[in-house]
Parts: sequence; structure tokens; C-alpha cells
Amino acid sequence: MSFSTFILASLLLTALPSGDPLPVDFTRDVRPILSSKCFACHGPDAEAREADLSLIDFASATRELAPGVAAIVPGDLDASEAWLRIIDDADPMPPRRAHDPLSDDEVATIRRWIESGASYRPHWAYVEPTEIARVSSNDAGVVDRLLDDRHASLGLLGSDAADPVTLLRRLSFDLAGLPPSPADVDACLALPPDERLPRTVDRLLASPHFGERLAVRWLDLVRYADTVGYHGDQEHRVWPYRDWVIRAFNAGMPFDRFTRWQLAGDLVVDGDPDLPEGDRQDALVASGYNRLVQTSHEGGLQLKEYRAIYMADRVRNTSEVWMAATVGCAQCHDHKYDPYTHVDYHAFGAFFADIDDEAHLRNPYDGYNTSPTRREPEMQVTTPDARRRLEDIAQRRATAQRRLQAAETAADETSPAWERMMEARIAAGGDRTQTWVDDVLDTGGTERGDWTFHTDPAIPARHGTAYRVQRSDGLVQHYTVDTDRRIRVEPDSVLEAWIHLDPTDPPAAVMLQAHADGSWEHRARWGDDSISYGRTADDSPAYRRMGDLPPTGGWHRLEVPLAEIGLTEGVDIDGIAFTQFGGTVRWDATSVRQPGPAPPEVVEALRRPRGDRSAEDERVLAAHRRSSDPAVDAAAAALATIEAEREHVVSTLPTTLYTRRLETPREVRVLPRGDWLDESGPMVAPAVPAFLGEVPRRDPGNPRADRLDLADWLVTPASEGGVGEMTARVFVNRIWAMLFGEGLCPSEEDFGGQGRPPTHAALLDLLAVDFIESGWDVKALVRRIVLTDAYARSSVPVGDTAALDPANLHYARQTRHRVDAEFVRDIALSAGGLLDTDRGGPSVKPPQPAGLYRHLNFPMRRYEPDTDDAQWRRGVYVHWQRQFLHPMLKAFDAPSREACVATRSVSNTPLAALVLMNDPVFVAAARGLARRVLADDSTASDRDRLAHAWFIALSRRPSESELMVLERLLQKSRRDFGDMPENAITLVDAAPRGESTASPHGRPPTEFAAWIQTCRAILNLHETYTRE
Amino acid sequence: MSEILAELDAMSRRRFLGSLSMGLGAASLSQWPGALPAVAAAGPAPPLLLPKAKRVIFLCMAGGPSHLETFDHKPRLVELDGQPMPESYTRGMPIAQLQGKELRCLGSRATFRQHGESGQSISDYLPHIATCADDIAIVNSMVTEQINHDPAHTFMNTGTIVPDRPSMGSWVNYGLGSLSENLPGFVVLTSVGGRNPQPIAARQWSSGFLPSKLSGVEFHGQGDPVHYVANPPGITTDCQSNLVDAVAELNRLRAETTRDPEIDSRIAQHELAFRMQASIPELMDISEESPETLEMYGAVPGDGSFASNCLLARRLAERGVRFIHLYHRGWDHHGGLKQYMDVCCDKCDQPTAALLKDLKRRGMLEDTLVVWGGEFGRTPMSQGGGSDPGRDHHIKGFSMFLAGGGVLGGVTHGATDELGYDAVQDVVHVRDLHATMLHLLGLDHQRLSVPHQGLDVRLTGVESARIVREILT
Repeated sequence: MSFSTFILASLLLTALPSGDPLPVDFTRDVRPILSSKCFACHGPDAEAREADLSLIDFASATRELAPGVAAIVPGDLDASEAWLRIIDDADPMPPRRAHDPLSDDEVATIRRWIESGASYRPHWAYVEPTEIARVSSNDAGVVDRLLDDRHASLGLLGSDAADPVTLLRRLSFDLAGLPPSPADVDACLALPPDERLPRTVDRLLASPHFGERLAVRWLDLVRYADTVGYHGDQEHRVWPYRDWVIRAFNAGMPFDRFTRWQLAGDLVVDGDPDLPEGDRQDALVASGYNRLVQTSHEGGLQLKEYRAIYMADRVRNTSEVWMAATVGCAQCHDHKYDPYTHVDYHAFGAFFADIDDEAHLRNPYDGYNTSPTRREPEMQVTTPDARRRLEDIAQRRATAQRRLQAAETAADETSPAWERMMEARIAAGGDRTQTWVDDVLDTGGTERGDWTFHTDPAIPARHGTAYRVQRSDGLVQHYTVDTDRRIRVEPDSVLEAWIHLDPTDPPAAVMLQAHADGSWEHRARWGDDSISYGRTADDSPAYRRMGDLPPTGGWHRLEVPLAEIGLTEGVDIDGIAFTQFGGTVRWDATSVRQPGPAPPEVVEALRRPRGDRSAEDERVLAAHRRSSDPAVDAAAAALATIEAEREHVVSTLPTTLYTRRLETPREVRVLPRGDWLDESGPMVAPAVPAFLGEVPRRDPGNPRADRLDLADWLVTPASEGGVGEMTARVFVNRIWAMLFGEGLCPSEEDFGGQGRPPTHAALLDLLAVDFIESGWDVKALVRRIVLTDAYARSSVPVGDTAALDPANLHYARQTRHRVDAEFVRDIALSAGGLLDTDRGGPSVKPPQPAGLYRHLNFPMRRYEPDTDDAQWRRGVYVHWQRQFLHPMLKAFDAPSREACVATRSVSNTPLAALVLMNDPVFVAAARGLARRVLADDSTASDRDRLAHAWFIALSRRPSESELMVLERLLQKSRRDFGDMPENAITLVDAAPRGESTASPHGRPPTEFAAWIQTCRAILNLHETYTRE
Repeated sequence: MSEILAELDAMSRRRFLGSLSMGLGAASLSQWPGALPAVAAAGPAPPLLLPKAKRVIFLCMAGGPSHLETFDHKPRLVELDGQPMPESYTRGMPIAQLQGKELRCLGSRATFRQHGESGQSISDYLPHIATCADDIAIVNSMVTEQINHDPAHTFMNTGTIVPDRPSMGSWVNYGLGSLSENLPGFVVLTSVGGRNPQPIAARQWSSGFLPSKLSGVEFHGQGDPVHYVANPPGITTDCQSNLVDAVAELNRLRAETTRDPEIDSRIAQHELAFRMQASIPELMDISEESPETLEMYGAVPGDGSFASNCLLARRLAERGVRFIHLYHRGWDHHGGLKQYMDVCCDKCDQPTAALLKDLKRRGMLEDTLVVWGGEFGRTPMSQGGGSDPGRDHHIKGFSMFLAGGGVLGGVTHGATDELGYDAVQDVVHVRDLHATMLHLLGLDHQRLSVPHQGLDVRLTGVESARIVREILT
């Protein structure tokens, strides 16, 4: 007998005045015993079956095993072979070697069950909701009635409603993960009593913090984290998925759509050309769900092994998240307790065989040892902010384009005057110089390295006003490439650059390099051969040896005839690189000198009389005219600047992991015993566990079902061929658990035979059916539950309730529990007035102990904490390093997010106490709280201020005894810091970077420190972090 | 009984009820007549065997040391040095970085000699451990199932690569409870030094789905020994004490109105934390050890070396820590085998021997189980060229040793084939090692189980495991 049934049974026994035991209930009483004690050998796994006996259903259990012998003979104990074996002292069942005998109570239950006819009922989780649920789901009071009926039958006394402040705090923690502000408390209490609850619920459901609160639960389930998890645990980029989850909850996205987008956002986009652009992007971001598996690119990995590992991870996660099912247990053999077969496991995994995600497994040495690392495919995400900027740029760009066009037209009209000007210039002779960079990098395109331009009176620029300084101990290269500005190579073009070698720190070599036609194989180097890029044994255009370095200590011009580095007439240069080995080099203006006052073809065309010019001549002249007209030049430059801005915005857009479908899915074979080296098993196509039926295909012509079919099946009601009611039960149960501390089915993670049956099956069914009928409306579900009387009850038990129902399985009272780790942080920061409620964006890095990542490698990691307001962001945005989670989060039981977690444990450890006492973030919060209460009216008494601090953190006034404890601590602390003022200064000044250290109102540090110390006490209280 | 109650005290109510509901009830109830159901159900089955060991010190040589250069002497491999590896050995076998490469034998780079009265064969790379030959049981027939570092460590520690499973240190503390009032029951120390070390994840000492108080706590030889164990800047011990007192008083006032039993636990944990703030720095300060002892280990206070950690392991053992897990990284010798064996052995050999001798002279070796080994071994085939090639990961046969705590000294158990590839005689799987360790601690590996997600999860998994009785006293 499992303990839940034990409690239940004993409660029932206690409750019944007659002392008659209740009729045996198969689901509640018998199946748990069979499952835990018998099914390992007589259960669903055919291969492990002993004595050819299965006890999984009535037919199997009562089948004739030998003439006249059956395991169970309904109503006839002595004829039942199973019973005879159970009571056989010499050779009992379960066998002694199992070390798991039946208890006396369990034996008694089996006895009564056989005697009363040995009826079987299908497992509760696999049957449709009862008719009652459908009939009564619209009844507003039905939830409380169902619960109250149970209390009556069990002799439990329901607690009264909690006081309004407790209820306000409970709602704030449950729906926003934050304590109410003092203003919230006052506003709530100012309302008429019957409006307080509904108005508060409305406010919180509309608050953007609702999504943050629900996301904490959801992100645990889907194991969202900022790092890959295995081996080097490098960062991967998927935070837009986290933001999408938060926005989806806030926007009230129906849960069925929420499901489809995550499992198959890519297929949703493919199948719906009418989907608005914003939704298309969101659906793809949501499909990042499939990419949240832990990944590895450890050297020496085996592709097929990791393919099997990823598949197992996905099967486990998807089945746990949406079905509360442990399909993953059937990886090596049929499930021991639930009807999931070994083939079901692989067929379920085959749904995910079209996810294109193996680049890092196929080429693990391809430069992945960076952090962040790459995990192809990744998509760019246009954030709302970026979208606004891009729209603005698009407008300005259109204007600039019009201006350029106008300038060009104007240039055409001034043609005769221009020709006269050109003729004069040709007559005068001379060369043209096209400057590449000077004083500023304005070429457009992308750049690498330091492009700061310096001025230094000791070494004036050779050209313009400033130059770049490149310094290194070894090989260093700065470049720009894919530039908007391009320079056309003419027959005798020469690349020139001004250079100054530092006499005290000369380089070994310098190199100029040009990019054209997609190639960098155009190099000229001075000095020795220490620059390895493109180094060839023989002199070649890809590594042209130009001779010795110029003398140090002055400006010299490097010159490279472009033909020598393989750049021929007509080619466009669109990139240039400056390389050196060691030393300090100043690089000034770089340009291309074109011989003659105009390109040869222009000179030729101009020489021809107008009437004799060919169409080609006209084209050449028009092009040159435009390119040399200052107005056109200015308009073109303006456009280029805008284009560069656009390029910059686009290139800095965040990227995120998403799902891209393979045209041909990977083949999936049944792996005998889960052994990936054994390829002898049959191939399987995607399918849901066979006992649950078949997945309807959207397109019956499609030879295989896909992820969108799976998602549809999960959220389609049974009447239409899906398992929507099962999915709804799983989700509804989790919401209930979030609001009551324990689910209606207490095993939130496992609805299977080894889980615990629901304590309130009808209520669970009712809410599930209602949830579907509401259009999978999550906010409506939450609202319905929090507006019940049951939710509002005090968590203080009355009568014998605590003894009768210690685990509060029947909700005669509310539950108390410490809030989740993220909210512990949020509460402290909020009390300290530090909390930054900005939403979304890259994960934030609050201070953490030095050296936490010392065991990471590939690459070695250095944690750079945020120093701006980002360090005070909410816990849900904190960087999630799977292998080394922030110790504060870990101490309060935040999971590593390596696997699905439906229920966090709630521990109470010394490590958590150390965080509250000593983590600098919590000390900063205490400093903030002290500053808040010292900031106001300077005539307030100590007691007023202490009460104020207390109210900020706990939403209530302190009692007289509480106030006395605080006062004593304050006085003691004044003495302590008065004796050792240097300690006060240290405490006051020990603020993390970015936090103000000034004492409020110029109070001496000893006074401020005493208040900080007293506020630390408030931020160490049990009550501060307890949802009651 | 009081130990278990203390355990419970520190456990959260919710978790405690959660574990109640996990179905532990019946078996324990029947064995504990008269016990409160809640208490009996909250802990695992009590030890049923007479324990030989009270604690474990596990010396993990992370990266996978070569068995062929340490304890497994293979003259035939030396004869075939440079010859192609016979294909019969390697066909169809999992191979890590040598995938698709030409496979050639690499004879041992070490010289082996017989040591002690028992005449155990140990290589010259380990001159100090060799002096303990009569105290250790060498197992030359280890096999594991995972060929990459991260999963192989996970397998060695949890018996599976399924995520979120408890590490063996957590299992042992779950089964036996803690012996220390001021220290966690499972402590991990990772040494600095060595070459380009493989990463090691905190997952390796996670309690998985067991309560987080059973997780290994990492102590650091340098910097703060435990996160947040130092007072905030400007706060003296007296100030901190005032704070803890005031918090306790306020919490007690609250408990009076709410009757919330969890508050008592919170008060106790704050007070324990405060005691730890004193006890941990004291523990970590090895400068009070005699110069002779420091020299014996080769330890320099505050250097974070494996030597210092070995000495700390003894101090932790003295103070009642159940499971002490040391990691030394840098044993992943794909190339430069000779050079890096020198580096690693230089850092690890002497301290390991010193730990064994120090425990022995203090009478602690008899109830302290010491285990030495990596997550796997290395191939008989060479990897990389040049004058000093290396070896790839290898899982089909490798060596570990056990000592103390009921283990026979001076024996060698099991053997690989003549090339050191496959364990062929008395094969010891990782789960057999686990079963043996639990047995020595008085725990039956079949009964130490916790229902989780529908399965009775054991450290030794669902396959049958065998206690290696041949090496037990």
C-alpha cells in the first residue's frame, strides 16, 4: 500500500462511525499495490513476464493458466492461486529475493478485493472525464461544493478565509511572484471588502509579472537554460524563447496554440501563409522548444550515440510535459508499469527525427569551443525595439534614395558644363586618389578589431587629424570587409598606406591585404615571414614579399601596385586588412592612387566629338559624371550611412535556436535494449503509444505523421480523435498545485500506474473539461481557481485537521511554503528598492562567488557580472548555467534544468541560510531597505522607521514584541559600530558596483550601518519568503 | 533513531511528505515496529548488514588514467609495439577520437615491478602507492559503458546517464545519514594544477531527485572554502551572532501565531549555518598540521593542490563526513603520454600514499573505504604521432584500486586479455563496484531504492549487480 492510500484509508476509517471499511476501490486501493509489488514480473512488459501470468487486466488475471488453475477467481479466495501464493509462508509472493513484501494492510486489501469480485477499472488517467464533469462544469460553486463534501465525509474542519493582507500577499506571490508594495496593500484595504479579491485578481492577471511568474514553472518543465549542459557547458543563445513564453502567458495565448507553436512552430508557419509576420517569427521562436535538449560537441563523440541521447531526451521531456507520462522508461524494454512498449518509445521519438540539429555532432572540431558557442540552425529575431528602429530607417532610406535620384538627374542635366570642366582637368594632368580610411571608419560593411582613431601631440597624424594604433605581442589583424564603398581597380592602380613604426617596440612584420571578388588572397608584407596568414614558400600574389620594414620613428608610405597582388583591371576592392606581428604600429590614411586625372576610358570617350560617341561611351561618361559630382557624392554618402545603420541593426539582432525541418527525416530503428550500436531492429514511423490510438493526420496523403499532428492530437478532445482531456488534466493539475501547493493528483510528474491516483478525480476532470471549453484559456483557469472559497482559506489548520490530513490532500486549509528561488531574490531586491522590473532580453549576470566556473573548460570561462541596473533584474532573467547554477538559486532548490522538473523540492538548508545572511546581493538589499526607511521625514522615531521597514517587507505592522526585538538589535548594532566605526564604513561601502554608497541625509556611517544590520534581520525572516 | 530524527528535522516538510508519498511506507514500516509511520517512511531501509566502513574517500582521477601505465602489466603489448592492432579486438567496438584512424599497438611506457610481501605488480610511475601494495586491492578488470568524459563520469557517479539521478555520495548519505553536526555529509574537493583539464560538472555531485541537502557541497582549497561562508565585509562574528539571535527570536514569535513547524527547522538551519561559519574555516586551515605531516603529503597550506586536498580529506573524515570525493583533473592523455603521466603522477602519487598511511597510523583506515580510479581507462592502441604518442578513451577494461574499510590488502582481482583490451577474467562492472561499496557500508544495493517517476531507482540500476566478495576481508 502506498502511503497516500494509507492516509486516505485511515482517514476514511476514522471518519466512518460504523467502523465498516469502505468498499475496495480498484484505482485507489488495489492498482497501486499491483503496480508496485506485482507488475515488475506480471505486468505490461511481456519479455520480463514470469509464469506467463499477467495481472494487468481482468481477462489476463482470471485466465486459466493450467486446467482448473487461475491466478484470480473472483469471489473465491481459496481457489485463487495468486492468493494462495501470497499467503504461502514457505515461498511467498512477491518472492523474498525482491525484498519488497506485502504489508499486512496490503494483504487485507487484496483479500477484500478478490472477495468482492476482483473488479478492474482502466487506469484513471487513460479514461475520459466522467459525464458529471461535463454537466456541471459551468456551475460556479461546484469546486467548493466538491471539496466541502469531502471535508464533511472525512470529519475535516475547513479553515476560515485568511485575513485580507495574507490573501493579498498570497495572490501576489502566486500570480506575480512578487510581494505587494506598501501602496498595493493600502489600495487593497481601501476597497470595499467584497471587491478586494476580484479587483486584486484582475490587477494581477493584467500585470506583466503574471507571465514571468508562470514562466518560472514552465521553464522548469521544458528545461530552458542558457548553456548546452554537457561537457564544456558553453552558452547557447535561446533567450528569445524565454521571452516568448512570458509574453505568451501575458497575452493570454490559448494553451492549444501555445502547444502547437512549441512542438511544431516551423510546421505551423509552413502550413499557414496567412499568418501575420509577427506571429510567424514568434511561432519559430517558440519552436526553439525542440532545441532545449542538452547538447555536446565533446571531441570523440559518436554521432549515433548522441542521436539516441537527444531522442531519449525529447521523448522523456515531451511526454512528461504534456502527458505526465514516463514514456522515456521504455527506452530499453517495454514499460514495467504502464502500457508503453519499447516500440512505442521509438515511434514517439520518430516524431522528432525531422529536426535538423546535427551540425555540431558531425563536425565537433569546427570551432565550437567558444562561449557562446554555435548550435546551427539559429535564426535572427527582430525584437520590438529593433522593429521600430528598422521601420524608422526604412523611411529615412526611402527619402535618401529619392534625394540621390534627384542629384543624379541634376547631374545629367549639367552635363555640358561638366564636360568643359573635365576637359580642363585632363589638360592640367595629375593623378586621382581615392581615400579608403582616414580619421574615421565610414566604409560601411563589417569590421573586426579596434577601430578607434587616436590623436597624440607627440606624434601628429600624417594625414587628416587621427590614426589607429595597433599593438600586439603576436599576430594581430584588424579589417573591414563587404564595404559599401568600393574602389574599381585600373591598370596601374597603387594601394598606399601611411605607417609609423614605434622605435621602442617595432613589429617583426606588417601586411596590407585587399579583399575582392570574395577572396582575401591578395597580400603584401614587409619585414620577416612571421605573419602566417597565407604564407607560401614562394613569393606569390597571395603572399608578396615587398622587402624590409620602413625605418622606425617616422611616417612612411607603403605602396603596393595592385597588379602585384593579383588585382586586375575592373575588379572592385571591397575590403582591406592591416596585419602585423608584434610591436606598436600607427596606421594612418589608406588610399588607392589611380594614375591620370580620369580613368582611361573616360579620357578616350571625351576626346571623341559628341556625335561620334558610341552608346558605351555615353554610359562610361554618365557613370563617371555621377561618381565625380559632389552633390551625387553627398547624396550617395548619406544613403550609405543609413544603409550602414541598417546593417548594424540587423547584424546585432539576437539569434535564437529554432526548429528547422529536414526534408528527409532520419531513419529511426528500434534499438534492442536501447543499444545504439545494434542496428538490427525494425524501422518505425512516428506514432503515439499504440494503446492510445492513432494520430489523425492533417493531410491523409502525407505518408507519415509529423510534429504538428502530434501537437494537434495532444490538444484535440477525445470526441475528435485526440487526447485533449488528458493534456488538460495534466496542465490544470499543475496550475492547481501552483495555487495550493499540491496537485489534485499529487504526482504532478507521473499520471501513470506508479504515480498516485488523484484525490479529487471528479474535480480534476471538471476543471479539465472547463479548460478546454474555455478555449484553453489559462488566465480564466487561474481566475476560476483563485476565486474559490478554498483558495482563500487561512493556512492555519483548525481542529484536528493537521493530524488527520498532514499533507493537506483535501484542502481544508491553504498551504504554506517558501516561495521559489527566483522569487526569494525578487522579494529581497524589491524590499531594498533595487528591483529592476525591465522585461526580456539577454540573461543577466548578478554578482556571484569568484571562481564558480573554475572547472569549466573549452574555453576557460570568466564570469563578468553586470554592473548596471541589469544586476537587479528579476530572477527569471538570471543566467542559467546548467552545470554551475548561481549558488543563490541552487541553495533555494532551483533545478539545473538538465531534465524536466514538475515539482521543485523545497529544502531548508544551512547553505540557504548562508545566502540570506552573507550573499552580497542580500546585504545590498538590506542596505537599500535601510536607505528607504531613513530617507523620509527626518523627525520620525526609530519605532516608526522600524515599523516602516517591517511593513515594506511583510505587508503588516510589527507586534509590540517584534518591535522590541528590532529595537534591541538596532541599539546593539549602534554600539557595535560605534565601537568600531571602521566596520561601519566597510559595510556601508561594500556595495556592488552600480549601487550608491552614500548615506541617506548625511547620516554618519555608524548610524547607517546599524540600520543596515537591523534590516538584514528582516530580510532573514522565515515569513519574508513564505507564502501563507 | 535520533540521527534519523535529526535528519528529518533538517528536511523540508514538503519534501518529507513528498517522500512519504513515494511509497516507501510499507517495507520500512514492517521492519520498524512501533516506529512512527512518518519517521519510518521518511528514511530508507536501515542498514541490514554489519558495516565495515563508516565513510568513503573517493579519489577520482578525472580524464581516465591509463591502466597500462599504472597497474595492468602487459608484456605482449610491448612486443607488438608499433604493429597493427589485431582487428579481432576492435571490430564493432565503440571508439572515441580514433574513429576511422589506423590502429596500432602502443607498448607500455612504464616499467613494472613486484611490490610488498604480496608482490603486487605496480608501475614505476607510482613509487609511493607501490609502498602501500599490501594495503590495496587492485581491480584490473573494470568495465564501464560510456566512452566520453562527461557521460562516463555521470555513469561512474550515478550508475546511469539519465539526468537528475543522485550521485553515490548522496545515496550513501541518504542511506546512512550524516555523522557530523557542523558539516555536510558529502563534500567535494577539486584540485588545481595539472594540464589543460577536462571540465567537470556540478552534476557529478548532485543529489538528483533526492533532497538537495544530500547534494555534495564543494569546498574550495583557495578563496572562500564554501560559498557565502564568510561574513559580509564589516560584520564581525559578534554582529553576526546578534543577527542570528534576533532572527531566531522573531521567527519564534511568528511560530507562536502560525504554528508552522517549518519555522523551527529554519531557526535550526540558521544556527547551523552560523556554526559552519566557524567550523569550516577551522577545518580548512591545514597550517596547524605538523610539518612532518605536511611534508608527508607534500601539502602547502592554501595551495589547493591534490596533496592539500588529500590531507583535507583526512580532516573531513575525522570530523564525520560520510563521503569525501576528490577530483584531480588532467589524466586525459591523448598525446604526450609519458610527459603527462610524469606530471599527473608527480601531483597524485605521493599524496595518495600519504593519505593511506596517515589513515592507517591513526587507526582510521579500517573503517574508511578509499577508492582510486578514473571514469575509464585508455586504449592499448596509440594515438597521435611523434616521439611521445598517447592513448584514446577505453571502456572495455581498466584498473582501479580499493583500500581500507573491509577491503583485503595485497590482492589483484580480475584481468584483461594479453593486450589489455577486454576485461576477460572476473569482470567488474561499475554497478558491481557500487554494490561492493554499499555492501561495505552496510547497505544492501537491492534495497537502497527510492521510487521516482514510476521506477524503484537504485544506484546499481535495474540490471543485477554483484558484490566483489573476492576482495573483501
